[in-house]
Amino acid sequence: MNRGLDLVLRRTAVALITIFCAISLNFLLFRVVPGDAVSNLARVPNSTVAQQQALRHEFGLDRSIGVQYVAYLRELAHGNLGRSFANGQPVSKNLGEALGNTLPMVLLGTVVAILAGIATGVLGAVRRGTRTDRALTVSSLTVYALPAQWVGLLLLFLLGGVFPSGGRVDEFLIEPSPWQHTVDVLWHMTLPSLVVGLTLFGQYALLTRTAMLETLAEDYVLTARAKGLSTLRIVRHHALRNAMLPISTLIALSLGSVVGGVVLIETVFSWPGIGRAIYSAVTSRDYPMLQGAFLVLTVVVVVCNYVSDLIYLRLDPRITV
Amino acid sequence: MNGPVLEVRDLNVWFDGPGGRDVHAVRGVSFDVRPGDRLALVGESGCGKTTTVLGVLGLLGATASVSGSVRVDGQEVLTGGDAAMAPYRWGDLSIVFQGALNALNPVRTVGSQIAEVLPRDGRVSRRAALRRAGELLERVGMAARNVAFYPHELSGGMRQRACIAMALAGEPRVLFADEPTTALDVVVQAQILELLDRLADELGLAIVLISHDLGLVGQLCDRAMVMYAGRAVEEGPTEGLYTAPRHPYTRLLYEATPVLGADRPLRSIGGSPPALDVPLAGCAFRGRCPDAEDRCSLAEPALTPVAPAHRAACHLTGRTP
Amino acid sequence: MSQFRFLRQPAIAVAAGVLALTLLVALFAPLLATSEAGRRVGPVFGSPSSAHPLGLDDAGQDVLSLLLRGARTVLIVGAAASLVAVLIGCAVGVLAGYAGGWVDSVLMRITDYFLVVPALPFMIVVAAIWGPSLSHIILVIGLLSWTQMARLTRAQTMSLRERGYILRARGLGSSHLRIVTRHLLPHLTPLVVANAALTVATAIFAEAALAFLGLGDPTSVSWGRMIEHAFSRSALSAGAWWAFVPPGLCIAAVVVACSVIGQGVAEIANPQLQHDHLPPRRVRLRATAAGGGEDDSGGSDSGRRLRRRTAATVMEES
Repeated sequence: MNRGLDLVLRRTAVALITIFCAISLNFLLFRVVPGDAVSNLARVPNSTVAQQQALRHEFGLDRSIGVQYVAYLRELAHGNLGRSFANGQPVSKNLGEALGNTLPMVLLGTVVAILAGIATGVLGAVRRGTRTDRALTVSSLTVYALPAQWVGLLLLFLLGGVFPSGGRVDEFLIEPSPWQHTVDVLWHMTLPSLVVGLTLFGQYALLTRTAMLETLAEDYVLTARAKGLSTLRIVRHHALRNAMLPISTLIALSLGSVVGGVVLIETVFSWPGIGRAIYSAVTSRDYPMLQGAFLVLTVVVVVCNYVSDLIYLRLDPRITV
Repeated sequence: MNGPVLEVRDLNVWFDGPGGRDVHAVRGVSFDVRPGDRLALVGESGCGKTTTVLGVLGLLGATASVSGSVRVDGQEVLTGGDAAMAPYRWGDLSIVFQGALNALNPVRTVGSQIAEVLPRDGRVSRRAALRRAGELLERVGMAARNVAFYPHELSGGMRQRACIAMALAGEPRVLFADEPTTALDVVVQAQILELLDRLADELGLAIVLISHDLGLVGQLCDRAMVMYAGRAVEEGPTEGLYTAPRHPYTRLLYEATPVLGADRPLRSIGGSPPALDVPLAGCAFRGRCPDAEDRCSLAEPALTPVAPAHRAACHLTGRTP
Repeated sequence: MSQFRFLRQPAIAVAAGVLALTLLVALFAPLLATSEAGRRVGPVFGSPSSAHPLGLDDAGQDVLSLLLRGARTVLIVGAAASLVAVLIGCAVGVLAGYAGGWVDSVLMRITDYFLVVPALPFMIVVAAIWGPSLSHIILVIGLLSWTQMARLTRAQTMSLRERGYILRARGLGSSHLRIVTRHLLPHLTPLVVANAALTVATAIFAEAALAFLGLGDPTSVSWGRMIEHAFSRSALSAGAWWAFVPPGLCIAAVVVACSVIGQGVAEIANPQLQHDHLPPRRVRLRATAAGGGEDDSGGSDSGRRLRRRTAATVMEES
C-alpha cells in the first residue's frame, strides 16, 4: 500500500539532491578554472576598474573555496544571484522577467506539439505500414532533423512580412489597452511558438508511434478486439491509455532539449526570455547572468521532471499513492 | 434449435514469412459446435490450436491470410471480414484468453472492462452497468465489490474468474477458453474447471477448450480434436481417445500426460514438430512416429472414420490397437 | 525503438549512401571546392549564378565551396564527440551493470543527474568558460551526451551477466577484465553501434547550436557557423536565402541518415514491434487450393491471394 508513498518520497529526495548538485556544479563551473575566469575578466567589454573590482568581490577569488561555497549558498538562500554586468540590475529580477516572457511562448508551442505529436504518432501506429504511416513518419523525422535556429530563420524569411520579425511587443504601440497588448503579444508569439512546436512535434510523433506499437501488441488489445469494440475505442481506451505511461516519461525527459531549443529560437526572434538572456550573457560575457540563467533553467527542468513523475504515479493504478 | 451454432469447414491460415516463405499454420481444419457441446482442441504448443480459434473468431492480424468457411447460424462470417463477424462477436461467440494477467487492461478497473461489453438496450446508466458487472462477478464466485479493483489487485485465479465473467457479459452461446488454467496452481485449476463446467450446465453454453493437457480435457469435454502441425489428426469422444487412441500422436500425447494414481511410466515425445514454412510431403508426424513406414512419407493421410463418431488421419490406423 | 521497420532495407541503404557521400566530400573538399577558403570571389550576398550555383555569402565567398569544406568539421565533431560519449557511456554502463551494488547506485545517480540537466545550456556555459575551439566543442558535447549509452549498456550488461556462459567463465576463474572484453563487449556491439549513430546526430545538432550562439571554432568552416553568419550578418534582410538554406538542409540530411541507421540497427532487438492486435484493414482470403497440404512456396503467390477491403475502420472516418 505505501509503496506509492515511498516512491513519492524517493522521487522528492532525488529531485532535491539533483537541484543541490546543480547548485554546487554551478558554483564549481565558474570557479574550477580560476585562471580562465580571471583572464576572462579583462575581456569584459567596457569594464571599468570599479566593475572589475566588483567582479573580483563577486567571485571572492581571494578567499578559500570552502568559504566561497558557504557564502554562495547563503546568498542563494536569500534569492541573491548577483548583479548583471550588462544593466546593473539584480540577476534574479532580470531572470524573473525573462522567465515570465519565456513560459507562455514555450508552453503554447509545447502543448500544440504534444497534442499534434500524439495524434500523429497514434495514427501512424494504427495505420502501420501504409502509405499514410510512411508519409507521417518521414515528415516527422524530417521535422525532427531540422535545426531549430534554421527553421526559425526560414519562417522569418517566408513569413517575415506577415508576422513581426522579432521582439515581444510592438514598441510603437502607444498606451495599448490590456486587450490590445494581449493580442500584440500573441501576434509576436506566433512564429517563435510555431518553431518550438514544429521542432518538438517530430520527436513526439516518433516516440508516440513506437509506444503505441508496443502497446498494440499486448494481450489486452486482443481481448478488446475480441469483445467487438470499435477500433476507435480500442485505441483510445485500451492502447493509448497504457501507452501514455511511457509517452509521459519520454516527454518529461525531452524537456532538457526543449530548453536548448528555446535558447536558439529566442535568439532568432529576439524574444526577451531566458534563452535570449543566456545568449546575450554569452556574447557580453555577463557571467552572473549566465550562471543565474543556467541555474534557473536546470531547476525548472528538474521540477518539471518531478511533477511528471508524480503525474505518472497517478496515471498508473499499479502504484497506489 | 438443433443445428450447429458454428460450422468450420476446411479452415487454412497462413502467416507471411520472410522471403515469401509463408507459414501454413492451420491446414484444412473442420469442426462443428452445437448448443451445449463440450469440444476440446488438443495439441502441443505451436500446433495451431490458438491460431484456429483466432481464425474462427476473425481475430488474426494483418500478416495472416485465410481460406475456407466459418458459419455462425448458417451465416458465412470468414469471407465477410470484420463487418460480417461483428454482430456475433462476444454476443454469440466469446473467449477467455490464457494468461489472465495480460488479458485484462492493467490501467482500467475490472468492472469497467466488463461493463463496456454489456448489451446496451436503450440507456443503461453507468451505475446500472457496474451493478450488472458485479452480478456477473458473483456468478463466477467473486465478490461484487471487486468491480472497483484493478487487475493487479487480484490473484491469478481471481483474474481468470474475472475474465470468465467478462466473457459471460455478452450472453454468449459458445465460449472459447484458451488454456484457461495455465500458470495457475492445481487447486485453482480445479476450481476454474469446475466453474466452467457449472456455467456450461446452468447457461446451456457450448464450450470449446483449447489445451495441451489431455487430463484437463477429459474432465470438462466430451469430444476432442487432436491437432498436430496445423492439422486435425484425430477426432472423437474423449472417452474413446483415452481408451482407444487411433493415431500414434494421440497415444504418445496421452502417455506424456501425468495422471494422478495412474500406474504407468511417463514418456515424452522425442523430436519436435516439422517446420511449416515448407510444403510437407506425407504425414507430418512421421519424423517422430515410432511406427512410421515407407508409405508415410509418400502421401498425407486423410481423416477417415475408425469408429462411430471417431476419425483419425493415419495410414496405420487399422493396425493401431 | 523501431520507427522505420517498413523503410528498413531501402532506407538504410539510402542513409548509408548519404553518410558515405558526406564522408567523401569531407575527405576531398579541398579538391572539390572551387574557391579557396576565405577568398572573396564576388559581391556580398551575390545571387546564385552558373559560376556560383549556391550564390555568395556575407563576405562574398562561394557558398558551395563553404558547404563542401563544412562537411569536414561537421563529421569530425560528430564522430569525435560521439566517440567520447560512447567511451564514457560504455565505461559507466558496463561498470555499473557488471559491478552492481553501491558502484551501480552511485553511477546511476550521476547518470540521472546528467539526464535531466538541460544539455545545451550546460554546453554553452562550459564552452563560454573554456573559450571557443574545435577540441573544446568536441569535449563538451561528448561529456554531455553519454547518458543514454550508459543506461542502455548497463541494462544489457545486467541481463548478460546472469547468462550461463558468463557465469561459467567466472566459475573457471577468468579475470573480470577478460570477461568484460571477451564476453560482454562483443554482445554489446549492435547496441553500441545503434546508439553511437544517434549520438552523432545529437553531436551535429549541438555543434550547429553552439556555432549559432557564437561559440563555434572561429578558425574552421562549419554548417552551423554558416547559418550563424547568415543570421548575424542579415542575410534575411538581403533576401539571401542561399546563405542559410543549404547548410540547414545538409545538417538535416546527415541527422536523418544517422537516425535511420541508429533506429534500424536498434529495431532488430525489439520483437514487440513486429505485430499488433488491431483489426487488419483487409481480410486476406486465399482461394482454397486442393486439400491445403501443399502450399505455394515462393514464386508469385500474390496472384492467388485475393485481397478484399473490409469496411473502413473507425479511425479512417475521423
